[in-house]
Amino acid sequence: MRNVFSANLYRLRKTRAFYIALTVMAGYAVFISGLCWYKHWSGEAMLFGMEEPLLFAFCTGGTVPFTAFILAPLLSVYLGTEFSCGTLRSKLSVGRTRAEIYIANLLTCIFAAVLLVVLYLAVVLTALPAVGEFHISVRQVLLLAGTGLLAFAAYASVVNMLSALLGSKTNTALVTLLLLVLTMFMTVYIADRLEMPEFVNAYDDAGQILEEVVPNRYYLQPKARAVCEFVLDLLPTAQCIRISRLDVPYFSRMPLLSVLVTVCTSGIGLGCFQKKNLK
Amino acid sequence: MAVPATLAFTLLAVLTCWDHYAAGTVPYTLEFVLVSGFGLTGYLPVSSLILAPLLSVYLGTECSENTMRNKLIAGHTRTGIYLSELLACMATALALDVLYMLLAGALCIPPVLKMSGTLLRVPFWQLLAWTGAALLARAAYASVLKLLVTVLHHRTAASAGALLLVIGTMFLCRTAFGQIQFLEYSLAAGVPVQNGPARLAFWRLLVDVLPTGQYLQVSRLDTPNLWRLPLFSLAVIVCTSGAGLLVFQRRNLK
Repeated sequence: MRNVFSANLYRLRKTRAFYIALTVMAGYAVFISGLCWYKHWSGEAMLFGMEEPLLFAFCTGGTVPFTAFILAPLLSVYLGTEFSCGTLRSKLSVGRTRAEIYIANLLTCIFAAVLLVVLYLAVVLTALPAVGEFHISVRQVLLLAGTGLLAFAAYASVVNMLSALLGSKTNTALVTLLLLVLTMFMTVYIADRLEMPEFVNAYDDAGQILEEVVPNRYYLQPKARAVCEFVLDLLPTAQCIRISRLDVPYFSRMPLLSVLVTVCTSGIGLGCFQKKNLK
Repeated sequence: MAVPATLAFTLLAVLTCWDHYAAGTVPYTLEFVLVSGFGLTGYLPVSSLILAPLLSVYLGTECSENTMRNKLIAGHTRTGIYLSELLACMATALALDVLYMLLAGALCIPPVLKMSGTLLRVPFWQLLAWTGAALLARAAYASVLKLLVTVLHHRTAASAGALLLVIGTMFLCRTAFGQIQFLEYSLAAGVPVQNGPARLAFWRLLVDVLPTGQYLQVSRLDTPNLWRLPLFSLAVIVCTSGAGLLVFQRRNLK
C-alpha cells in the first residue's frame, strides 16, 4: 500500500486543482492575517485572542466552513479523475487490491486536508505580534486544533465514500458541495434552537407583544436537546463550526465520533467499492 | 432533479406556512410566501442552489461531450449556439421560479386568509414590480452562469465553480446587508462613521448590481432602489452575454 500511497501523492502534486486549493487557502490566510494587522495598526482594541484567527482554519466567523468548501471540489476532482481516466483499472491490473487503493485514497485525502490546515496556521501565526496574546491556554488551542483535524479526516472519509459510490467527478463535487451547504445551515439552525429561551412573551391578534409569558414552542425539550447536541458533535462540518465558536460542551466525545464516522464511512465506501463495476 | 428539488422546497414553504397558522404565530400575508422563493429567510437563495448544478451540468456536458462541434458542422453559427443556450437557461430558471410561485401561492391562500383576513398587505402593482425585478435578476443570473461555463469549458469545473459562486455571493450579500444596516442606524443616530455615506452607497450599489443581491432584497421586501434593479439586470445580461460571446468566438473547440 505504501507504493500506492506514494503514487497518489505524486499524482496529487501533478493535479492543478491542488495548487488552486493551496493558493486559495494561502490567500485566505493572508487575508485573515492582514485583517489582524490592520486592526493593530489602526489602533483598534483587540477584543479577541490569537485562538480566534487560528481556529478560522476550521470555520470562518462561526458560520462558514471555508476550508471544507476548498476541500470538497479538490478531493472530488482528485478522486473522480481515477474513475473517469481508467487509472483504477490500471492499478488493479498491476496487482493492487481494491482495499489498498481505497485506503491509500483515504490517506491521501487526509494528507491534503491536513496540509491545507497547516499552511493556514503557518501563515496566520505571523499575526501573533499584532494580536498579542491567547485568551485561552495554548493546550486548549492545541486540543481544539487536533479535534478539528480529526473532523477534517472524517470529512475526507465522507468525500472518499461518496466518490466511491458516485464514481463521477462532477456528481461527487455537486453532492459534496450541496451536502456541505445543507449541513452548514442545519448546524446554524440547530445551534440557534439550542439557544432559544424556554419562555417568551405572547402576542395579541394585531402582533403586539404582551406582558404575559408563555412556553416557547421552539424550545427543545431535554430528549430533543440531547439528540441535537449529539448530531452537532457527530457531523464533521458541525464540529468545525462549533470549534471555531469555542462552543464545545462535550469535548471528549468529538474526537471519538470523528473516528467513528471515519471508520463507518470507510467501511461503507470500501464495501461498495469492492462490488463496483469499474468500466 | 431540479423539478423535484423545487417541488420539495415549495412543499417546505407551504408546510411552514400551515405550521405558522396552526401555531398562531405573528400573521403574515401572501407576498411573504411568494418572495421566499427568491431567498429563504432573506439570506438563502435556494433556487440558485438548485439552478447552479442544473445549468452548469446541462451547459458543461456540451463542452465535455463535444456536441458543439456537431452543431457547428450542421451549419449553426457560434453566436446562434450561444444565444440559444442562453435563452434556454433563462427560460428554465424563470420556469422554476414561476412553478414555485404558482404552487406556493395557491396552497398558502387558505392559511394566509385565516391568519390575516387578507391576501396582500401591499398593493398588487408593488408585488408585480418586486416579482418582475426578481425574475429579471434571475435571467441575469442565468447569463452569468452561461458566461462562467463558457470560460471554464469543463463540466466538473463549471459545476463546482457555479456552486461556489452562489455560496460566495450569498455570503457577500449577507455581509453587505449587515454593513448597510449598521451604517444606516449609525448615520440616522448621528454616530460618526468614517466615510459613512460613501460606504453605504458602495454596499447599496453592490447588492443592487449582483443578481443574488437583487432577489435577496426582494425576498426581504426591502428594495429602496427598486427603479434601478431592472436596469442593472439588463446591464449584467448585456455585459456577460457580450463577454461570453467574445470568449466563445475565440474558443478552440477540440
